[in-house]
Amino acid sequence: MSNIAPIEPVGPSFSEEPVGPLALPSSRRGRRFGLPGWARLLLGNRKSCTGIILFAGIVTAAVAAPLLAQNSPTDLVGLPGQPPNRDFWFGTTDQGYDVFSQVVWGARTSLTVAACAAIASTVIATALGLLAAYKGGWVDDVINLFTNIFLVIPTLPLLIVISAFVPTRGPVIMVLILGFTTWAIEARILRSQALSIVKRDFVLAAKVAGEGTWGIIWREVMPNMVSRIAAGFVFVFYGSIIFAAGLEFLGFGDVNGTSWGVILYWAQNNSVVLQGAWWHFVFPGLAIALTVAALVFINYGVDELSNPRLRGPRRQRRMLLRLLSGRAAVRAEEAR
Amino acid sequence: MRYLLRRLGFYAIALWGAITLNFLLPRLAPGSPIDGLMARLPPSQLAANPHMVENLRAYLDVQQQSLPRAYVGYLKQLATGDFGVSTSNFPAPVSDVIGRVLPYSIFLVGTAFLLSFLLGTTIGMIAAWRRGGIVDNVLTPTFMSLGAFPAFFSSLLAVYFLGLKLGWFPIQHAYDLGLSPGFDWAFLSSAFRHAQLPILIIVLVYAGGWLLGMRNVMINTVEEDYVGLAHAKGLRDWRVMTHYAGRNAVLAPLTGFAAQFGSAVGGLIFIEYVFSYPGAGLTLQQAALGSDYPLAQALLLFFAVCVLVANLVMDLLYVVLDPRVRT
Repeated sequence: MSNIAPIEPVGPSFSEEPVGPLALPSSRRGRRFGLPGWARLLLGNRKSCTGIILFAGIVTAAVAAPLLAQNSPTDLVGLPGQPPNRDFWFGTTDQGYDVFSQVVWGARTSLTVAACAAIASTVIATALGLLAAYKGGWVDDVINLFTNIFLVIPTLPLLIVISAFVPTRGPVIMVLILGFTTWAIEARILRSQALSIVKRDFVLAAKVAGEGTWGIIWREVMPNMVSRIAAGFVFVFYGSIIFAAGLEFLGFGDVNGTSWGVILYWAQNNSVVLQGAWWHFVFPGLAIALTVAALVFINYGVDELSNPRLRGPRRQRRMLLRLLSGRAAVRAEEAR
Repeated sequence: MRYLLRRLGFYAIALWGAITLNFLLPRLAPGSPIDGLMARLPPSQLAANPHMVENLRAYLDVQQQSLPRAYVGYLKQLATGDFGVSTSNFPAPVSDVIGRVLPYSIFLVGTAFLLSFLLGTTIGMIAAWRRGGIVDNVLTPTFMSLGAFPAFFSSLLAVYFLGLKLGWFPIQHAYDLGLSPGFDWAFLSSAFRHAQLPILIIVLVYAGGWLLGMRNVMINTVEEDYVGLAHAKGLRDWRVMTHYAGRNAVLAPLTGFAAQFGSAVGGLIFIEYVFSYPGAGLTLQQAALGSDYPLAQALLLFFAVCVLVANLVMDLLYVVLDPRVRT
């Protein structure tokens, strides 16, 4: 018991927290601003809160690109190959571009492409997954077959081969290709989740009332899965950031554009790594890694909220103790 | 047995689907691939490779046929192992090119993937067993962040710091220049040294996924009654962890093997590209950039078959590990 006692927080807020295996840490700060419930939950979890703050920072930097970066990302502004210095915070490329403005402006392209691709992928996954679950029978079988085929074909090679066949390169094409190839996992997950919903009475009632297939899927099933779909969106967004940057890195993007992957492409193409110009690839790489880390943190938070067993042992032990003895509640009462 | 047959049936259908998708891709793509090729190729390159255009015309001729007939022809070609001629390695057939680059990739991804699985599940097992202990608090977050890093960034960092700055590993190619591939000591030792850093990166990047999968399942397993019983029998702690809790927990992460393998194949492309490692991944990238469609498509099909085979191996292993599916 001695190792448990010190970590028990004692304070007036304690008794306000709901108790139980699904107890979610509530944020009093959030409530004051009148945030919706899910936002309060996410901000109350330490991991997802970190992720959200980090992600918000990156988005802010992307939006404020013209204010942050003095130089144009596509102008030759300095001597080539300068390490980071006062004028060029992230140094210059081997051509003389400003790496800092390339990274900041590149955030716009990279984030937009990933967001649009994630939206496209989520829409496809939701439509197919819910349709398969609701319709069942041969519709389910056909959709399942397509899902399985896309699950079996490794995504990156497929992306590369499709890019090879598409005559143009650029953000729009990238979004379409990514949306077309990354939906399978989410469709599979959403289908299995929806299976339990489509058998409920309210869906049957809607059917009896004469609502059409898409009406039921859109108005009855979908609203019950919003949190799951949102979690899937974060996951696909994460994948899209990596896939888009990776494809651009391999030379399948618009090599004259400005995005994180394209900066890395030129770094690799001009073998600046072998010349020791670390700033040319470390900063865009860090930008990608930070974005990805932010999304992973948000996802962990979502996971922990839905599965309390994954939470740290401290909180669980505390919760268990509270459940068993009610001692904490007693102590909180005393503290008042 | 019935379980295995059902799985085999599924793989046959999935393989057919992958082949069909591969067949349809060039026909679904907007515009003719040859237009894109002409637009992208510098005139000098066209002049230097007169055969390339000719070849592509011949290849595209197939598409002038009706769709069903072309499809049957395509299946026949595949059945005889004829993938066409690689336009970027003219006049080498695609199968020769793949045969040449494949051993490198199989060696690289096979070794690395096995190691990352062993490392990840072992650490995941220990982390869940001693939850909040040193292993859990240090190694879990370390591998998780390594796993979240995109593979291309990790390899660039590794090339720069471990290869260039510290000089611990060779950083380019699969073997030293001046050696020719063969089964002699000089070549094999050189190839082994050149594979070290790529393997290290794959292991570090992919162990995190296994670790997390194993840890999440194991956390539930350690609370099972039979684990308590094993303790009560007076078995050693280590033995309960490996033979009781670990053995049962490892089944769930194994089901994610194929997905992990598919993503490792993707990671392989980045790593081979960064290291100029002449494997299947780098060849796919070069073929796709150089509009060598026969080679690129054959490699895509090959990767898909690899993932299918990985699935099949996993199913077989599952039968060995889980007595319940044997009946």
